[in-house]
Amino acid sequence: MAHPGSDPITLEELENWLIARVGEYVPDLEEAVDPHQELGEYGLDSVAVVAFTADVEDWLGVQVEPTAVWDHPTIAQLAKFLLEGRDQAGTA
Amino acid sequence: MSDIHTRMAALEERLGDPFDPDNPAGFAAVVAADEREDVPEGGVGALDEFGILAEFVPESLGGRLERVDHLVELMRSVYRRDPGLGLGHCSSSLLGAVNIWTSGSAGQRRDAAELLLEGKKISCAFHELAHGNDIGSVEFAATPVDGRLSLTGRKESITNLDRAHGVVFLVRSDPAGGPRACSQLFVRVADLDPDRFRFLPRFRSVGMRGVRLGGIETRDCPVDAEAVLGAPGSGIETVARAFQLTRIAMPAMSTAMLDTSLRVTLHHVRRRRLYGRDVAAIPMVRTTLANAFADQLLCEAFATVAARSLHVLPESGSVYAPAVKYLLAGVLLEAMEQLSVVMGAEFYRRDGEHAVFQKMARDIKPVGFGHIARAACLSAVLPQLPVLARRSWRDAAPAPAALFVEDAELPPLDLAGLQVVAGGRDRLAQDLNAALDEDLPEPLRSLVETHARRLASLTRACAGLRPRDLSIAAAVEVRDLAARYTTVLAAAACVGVWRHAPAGDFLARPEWLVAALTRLAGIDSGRPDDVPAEVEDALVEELLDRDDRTVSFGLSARRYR
Repeated sequence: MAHPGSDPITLEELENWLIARVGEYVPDLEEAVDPHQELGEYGLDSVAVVAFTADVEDWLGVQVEPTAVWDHPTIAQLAKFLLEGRDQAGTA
Repeated sequence: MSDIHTRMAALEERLGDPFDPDNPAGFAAVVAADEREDVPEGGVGALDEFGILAEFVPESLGGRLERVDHLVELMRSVYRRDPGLGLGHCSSSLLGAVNIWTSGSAGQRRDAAELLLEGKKISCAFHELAHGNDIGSVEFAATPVDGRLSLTGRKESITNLDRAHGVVFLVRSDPAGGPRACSQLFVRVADLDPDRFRFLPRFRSVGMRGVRLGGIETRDCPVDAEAVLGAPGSGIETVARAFQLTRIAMPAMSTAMLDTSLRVTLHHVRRRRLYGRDVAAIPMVRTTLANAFADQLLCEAFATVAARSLHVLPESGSVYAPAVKYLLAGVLLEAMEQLSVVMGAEFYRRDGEHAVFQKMARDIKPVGFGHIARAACLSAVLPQLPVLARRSWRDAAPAPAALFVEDAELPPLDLAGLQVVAGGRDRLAQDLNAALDEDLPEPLRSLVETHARRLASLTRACAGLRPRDLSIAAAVEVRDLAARYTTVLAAAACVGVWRHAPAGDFLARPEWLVAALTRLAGIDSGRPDDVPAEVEDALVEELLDRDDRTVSFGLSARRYR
């Protein structure tokens, strides 16, 4: 999906992007990434999480620390957290 | 107490001439103590009288810690005599303390400061043999029981555990695991129920034999819930911030081991004749001496710039700290190997006037794995490379001069303000690009261009990295990119130090920089190139002069005893 810039984005769009991106970090998964499963269980290790959050940062245009994934370890939790942060940044 | 330069001189004075065989803190006493797996009592006494542990306590808490670069330079006076004394009696307390300064409550910080200001040690009980650098997997458990925490498990190979008054534990606070499953606890040993724990027998080591490595086994040992440092589950995050300081400072202190080894080597070769020649004049010997001197300078340049960066560019510590640890360890270990060759059979002796050399050659080893292993340093840098390349490396903004200028004012150290990741912010590497806008004499310009081209090539290589390349299991050639980046950073640090050195200073002359950049240019191939012939004389001349005047071989060139 193209970079959303400052355009609105739905929770579903964000989740889908995150799922696709995780898939690029762990390409050998035999099953689809479940948004309610913890990312660590898919083999997204501590090194990958750092690179992954930088990608999210670039794509979404908000600052994202690796600790965001630590605190919100599933795609569903992370997407919700990111969207809230983006809304706050947008209205600030 | 007095200003840092007065304190450095006072500490040198207290510890005395290391070559004096009657000095109770000198090399003879150090080697004798090492044979007993101990540190010299005379050194311990001198350091206690000096109040060395106050150097690790921030000024705001009544101590003398103001600047990381100053702390390092002061501690080199200890490390150059006995690294076992430096680690075992001094800086091992810093490891625990930085976590308390970073995440502790006001009360916990006061409590820790009180211990250190009384000269009492703080032990850092993170390590478990089964998990190595994978600290997120620690098993030592803290379980809530009746409003308190109950500790069960083992910590192994921990410095000073059985004689520290305070201990910082890294514990598993959530059996579920994951990066939020670990917490840190700060406890006073006297508060632990003696029936619920036992110290493990001492762990024996090859080097740093005077350092007491111990362990602890606890079973249902209760501690107050208030012992947690910061929020529960923040243990790994605190490590990620706090250890930026120690991962710079500890290897930086270790350069003093090379200083002593180089000094002992000089004493040996300057008095010796073989085949009718002065050994010091044999070309291979001269080249090795010049190489080691260049290595000393480049290590200290990088470490000093990184130490100042914690004040000036606190956002970048998560990459500079592992980069310093990785690069310094590699250079120092290799330099010691090369000096051993020059020492010949003297390197092998445990007695005689050069016996401290073999001790240094053993004591330097932990720089490669102690605190954090070189491999783990690359793992910390690696995932940050693509975003660093995207956001910083193509720029050419000059880095802040305060990184390079010895007497520049630095912002106060704020450990809690250090960042877990750099977010692609690196002002140091791109300073190489900025340097090319200046007038540079040859052959310096070509050398700076070489390193700037490497940064450009690294930028391209990192743009081509795929997500799947970035994991703990990254391929060797991918991890190698992280190693190459540490070389670029070190080169940028050296160039910056040279550009900002006061006119007339040795550091303002081009020879050492030509030597340092040449050494660094060859490092990625495994064996650094020799110092170029055209600068070798200048380096050896400076080295011999510093030896004659008993001044440091490092960046400071300060007076030693």
